[in-house]
Amino acid sequence: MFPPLRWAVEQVRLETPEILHELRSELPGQHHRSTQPEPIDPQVPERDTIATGQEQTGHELSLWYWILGLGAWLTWFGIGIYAWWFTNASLADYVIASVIWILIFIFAVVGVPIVRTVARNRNPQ
Amino acid sequence: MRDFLLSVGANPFYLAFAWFLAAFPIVIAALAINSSRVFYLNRLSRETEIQNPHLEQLRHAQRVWPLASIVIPARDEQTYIEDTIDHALGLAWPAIEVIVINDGSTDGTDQVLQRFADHPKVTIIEHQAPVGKSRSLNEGIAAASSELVMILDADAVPDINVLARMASHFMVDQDVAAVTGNPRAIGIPNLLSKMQAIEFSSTISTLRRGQCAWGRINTVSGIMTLFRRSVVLNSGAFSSNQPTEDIEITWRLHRMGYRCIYEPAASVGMHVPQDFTQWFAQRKRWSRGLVRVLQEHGWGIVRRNEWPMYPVMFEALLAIIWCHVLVFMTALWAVALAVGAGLLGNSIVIGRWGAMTIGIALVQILWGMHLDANHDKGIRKLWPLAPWYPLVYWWMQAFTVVWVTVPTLLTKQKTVSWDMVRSTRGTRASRAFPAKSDSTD
Repeated sequence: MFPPLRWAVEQVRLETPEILHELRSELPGQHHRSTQPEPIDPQVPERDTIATGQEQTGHELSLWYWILGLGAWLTWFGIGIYAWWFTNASLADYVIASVIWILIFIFAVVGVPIVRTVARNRNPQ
Repeated sequence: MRDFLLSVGANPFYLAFAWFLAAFPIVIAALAINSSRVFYLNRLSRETEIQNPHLEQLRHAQRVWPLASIVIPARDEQTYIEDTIDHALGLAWPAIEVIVINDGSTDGTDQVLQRFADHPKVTIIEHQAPVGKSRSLNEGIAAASSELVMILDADAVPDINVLARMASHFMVDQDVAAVTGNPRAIGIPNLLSKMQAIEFSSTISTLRRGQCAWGRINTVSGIMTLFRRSVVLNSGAFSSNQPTEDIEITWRLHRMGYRCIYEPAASVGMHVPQDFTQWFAQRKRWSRGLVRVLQEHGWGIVRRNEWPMYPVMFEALLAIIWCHVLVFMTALWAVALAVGAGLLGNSIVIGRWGAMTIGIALVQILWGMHLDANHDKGIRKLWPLAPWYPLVYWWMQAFTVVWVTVPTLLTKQKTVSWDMVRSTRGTRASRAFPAKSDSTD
């Protein structure tokens, strides 16, 4: 037999998977949103009509901007390659930088719980 | 000189500054990426980014407030004002009233407004002499008939669904005082304006999503924000001695215990500066405004330990300090190179971290573009130019901040009025700028 909470979660899973997602994610509030499956009010168009660069005819980047962009990407790669391969770096430098960079990357990709704590504590007044 | 600079390169203070220079953008970018993801998850899915998740609250809001008031302050807006009023009248809401405050325009704006003189939904308030954007806004809000008051710049192009998207938030949480929209750069003919469009998606959109998840945003957008009228009036309305009245009222409302919400699905088209002179003038005002707000509210926040404001306040404060460090370090490196002292520590701090900092900034830009692409079909096309933002635009921003910070701290606050700049392309950029009396440069 399931413990009560698990049983409740199972019921929610069967009935409304969206609510289960919110319960599991422990995101703050707003579970009630998933209980409103009404169609969109026809008085309220949902299609966005504003777009970056819409005042320009043919907003696609010209060849000149592609060249400018390519130059900037190559500059960034160049800075990295120069810094990593053409300077007097010790093995310790490589190790420290790699560890820090990996930590940053992990934080940027899977660091949601940390920020979720901040979000959960929002609006304390 | 060379020996002195080499000794500077080994100084612990120099290394501390270098670490701060490299680490601060990385920390902020990582926080912005993560917390904007929380914001995104709070909205459940990409589908709710496209469809309004608060339909019941929206219908409730439309029953409670069937009338919405749009307040448009204008000063020399002949080029855009007619189009903006037409867009405001066309917003999806049961009933609309538009209040235009013509603040002493001399360019023929009054003649354009004549077209709306007998319009049943448009009220025009004429000022013989300009009194400033804040006072015009306050007059318009006072004249509004609805509790729902949207302020709109006179050259803005709001999406048809902005009211519907924003108003429902007032019914979701009773402590919401303002909901701000998502500015999109609609005219981007050159590299400078394209970089501003990238900026809107990287720092502004991503960071504002993140700040919204933190519970406090740095600012609502003066170009388009929906307010609860009674709250704004009770708070004292817009300050007339702040260069950026939108930042100031945001901090004030937060400190009063209200929340200001960012709604990315409420898109509004914005005409960004298209030459460096305009851009520099606008950014000086924004930087000066942030410094003034920190002066106005910073100490009070610390003294009363209003900790929910700490993330926004310290992010703003450290960003200003970082700009000064960046300019100082760049100057130092330039001198060091000139006298043959190298880059003062061509080491892990500058070399590797420089590339890393730019790298994570690029991740933030591309993530911001990904999020905004739900509402903006044009933003993804700018990805090839993304590296220009950290490689060039950061220095431009930092220089502007350094340019205004100390003079702003050394001068007293004065009443802010309008100032206009004109585009070299013959169109008009409609931003509010501080009067010459407040200008220190």
